[in-house]
Amino acid sequence: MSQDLIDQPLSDVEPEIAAIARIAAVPRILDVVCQTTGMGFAAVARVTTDRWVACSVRDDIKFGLRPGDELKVETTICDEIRLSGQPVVIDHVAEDAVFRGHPTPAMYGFQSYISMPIVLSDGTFFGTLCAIDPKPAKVSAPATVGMFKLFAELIAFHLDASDKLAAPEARGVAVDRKLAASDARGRVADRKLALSEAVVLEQKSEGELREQFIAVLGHDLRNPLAAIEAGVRLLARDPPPERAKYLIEQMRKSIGRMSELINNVLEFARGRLGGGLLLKRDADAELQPALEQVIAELQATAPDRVIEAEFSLASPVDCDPSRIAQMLSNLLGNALSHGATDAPIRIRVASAGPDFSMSVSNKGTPIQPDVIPQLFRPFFRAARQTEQEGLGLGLYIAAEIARAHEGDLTVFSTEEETRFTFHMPAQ
Amino acid sequence: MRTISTLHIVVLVVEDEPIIRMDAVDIIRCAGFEVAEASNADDAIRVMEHQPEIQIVFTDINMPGNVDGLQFAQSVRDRWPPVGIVVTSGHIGLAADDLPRDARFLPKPYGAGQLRQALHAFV
Repeated sequence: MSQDLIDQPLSDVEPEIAAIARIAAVPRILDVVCQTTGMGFAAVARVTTDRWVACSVRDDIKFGLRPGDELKVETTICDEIRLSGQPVVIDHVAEDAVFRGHPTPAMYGFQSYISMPIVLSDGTFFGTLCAIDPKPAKVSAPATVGMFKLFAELIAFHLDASDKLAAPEARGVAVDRKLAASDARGRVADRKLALSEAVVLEQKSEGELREQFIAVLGHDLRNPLAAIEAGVRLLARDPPPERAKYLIEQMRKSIGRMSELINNVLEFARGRLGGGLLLKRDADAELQPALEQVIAELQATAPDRVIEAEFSLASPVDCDPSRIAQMLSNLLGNALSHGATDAPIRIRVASAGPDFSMSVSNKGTPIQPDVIPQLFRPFFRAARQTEQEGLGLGLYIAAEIARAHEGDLTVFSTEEETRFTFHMPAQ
Repeated sequence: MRTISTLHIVVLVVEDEPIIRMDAVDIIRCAGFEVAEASNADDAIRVMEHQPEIQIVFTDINMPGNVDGLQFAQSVRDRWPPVGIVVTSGHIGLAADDLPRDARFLPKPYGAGQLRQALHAFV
């Protein structure tokens, strides 16, 4: 085996190995593959025109390949799979009409073999999910082939998702990796690694976003959950009715916060993975009731705050009312968390002729000018966070909704007031 | 409501989320401690200054105000060295280096038993 390993710099396949390593399910997939087929070696391999590199491996038969190890691609069957896009399944090499005389089984000493192509959603070939064993195995059973197909699709799905979330390792983070990556472009062109410096930098920030996403999600959902758990524990001790009422009210707030977090995360994931927000536009839909409902809901969570709303909808607005309501919810939520508690929050919604506008303003400490450009970025939060604060997705999603409506969301902040204003063409 | 204390040890609970604070106070009282409360670190410092009998602080990390729970815990370690410190947070990736010397960490959400155990380590 060892003589067939080649020693070549890994730099141009490193991102792919890292991308596979990030898929938590891969080791389990390889376990299941080996256990259900009885085969001793299974791997996910990155296969390009001139390279075969093991990304993840389960090796019970001392075949000797580890992640990062490389085989000469022309000595593998995976190269044929790359060209044909079809799986290759061999129960017993010695009895197989096509592969009996093939050099590969003899070279690597296997009798059973299965290899399923891993094809990304845009049709590009990533590599294979493959397994071998020195003994024959009944791998051509439809259930086995189906399982391999399903697992290969699952791996492709994860790779697509990690690509779209712009996992830093998978797409090249550091600028110093840019050269190596673009040098390798010819060889890995099928993964469309268009790595201009701007793209690399953007991806770096997206990679950081991804890290924040996970950290913040783990923390922020846990907090309201801990509150609900504490509330349940207190209620179980049969508190007096007044205290019970208070507890239930607080628990409702925590539940509301959790569902808002979940909605925002879903929205973010959809926006990023599903190619933007989908709008259900309807010029005849009632916008005002949808907005009033949002105001009533948020007022209920903050009964001691004053919220003043003014509507003058003179002309119909061609929009998705539930999305505009969501934007208002995010803007109002933001004003409640950051605005002065002793001054009213003002909402103005107006359509006149070709213009629709909606603004939310509050008093309080003005937003620092250097912070303003970052406000609409996902996961942005003010320096000091509290348990009550969200994921930092609210303003980002509001801006995305504005963009989807071909409108814009701007902010204006002075000592007098902080005002977010959404403008869009009404028709 | 006061429970007759069997330990005569005062624990300061610092937590901004009202239900979690109420729950922690209940658990700690039932475990036989006396309890003082604060909803942010600035208040907690004031409580520490006025109640020298406090022997253990149990503090959350993320709280509104000028000082977070970790900074508060550190200043307790510096200003009141014998006071026992238990820090809690929903953040799981906290390293021992982040905590003051001899402080204990209790991940959120915690059970009553875990909280009692953490406090008893200082008794």
